[in-house]
Amino acid sequence: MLALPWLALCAIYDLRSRSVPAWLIIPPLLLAVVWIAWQGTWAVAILVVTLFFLDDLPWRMRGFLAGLQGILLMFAWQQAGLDAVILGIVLILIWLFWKLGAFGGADAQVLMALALVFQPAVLVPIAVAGGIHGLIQRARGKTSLPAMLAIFIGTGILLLGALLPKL
Amino acid sequence: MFYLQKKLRFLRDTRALESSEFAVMLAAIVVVVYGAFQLLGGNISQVVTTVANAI
Repeated sequence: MLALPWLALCAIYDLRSRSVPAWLIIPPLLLAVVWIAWQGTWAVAILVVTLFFLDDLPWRMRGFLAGLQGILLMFAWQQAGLDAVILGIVLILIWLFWKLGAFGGADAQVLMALALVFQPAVLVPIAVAGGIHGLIQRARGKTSLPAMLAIFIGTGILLLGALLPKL
Repeated sequence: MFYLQKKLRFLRDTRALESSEFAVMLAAIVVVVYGAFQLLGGNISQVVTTVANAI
């Protein structure tokens, strides 16, 4: 439940300034990486760290790192099965969408942290909330949207949905 | 930690903005893929395990 106040704060920053300060994003992302390594899926943790460096390397090194990521996905398969491989692929896709300019960096980092902690299924309600928000923005004639709001709402739906049956 | 954040392009980017067209497209893709996985998930897992065992 700590995730919701954190995401609410991120959404407030996003709505005000269309950016989220690094101190609010980087520590939770690093904690998520440590957490997934602690769970025994260290291959996925190393994969995330390689994604941090990927854009700053020369092209040859990027090819090498991409190969290493493939090997890490195989290790992930051994460590935690198909779920870990899907998680790894989703993390790579999030990075690619950032590289293509579809996401801001803050969005990509928060999505990575959430996928690491709550599994990639958390991205489904987020994507639906983002799609509905995107349609509203299109109707208003705007070409962009503050994605943290959709991330907050989507995660809230998932967490509350998981908690309600227990109450 | 923040030294690395200043050096690496990915961690340096604090923008929180998404293209609305992309948001709609991604929502459609995610729903279709998730729905397909829910329907065929067991079979996909079985096929992948069979291939992995064969290797």
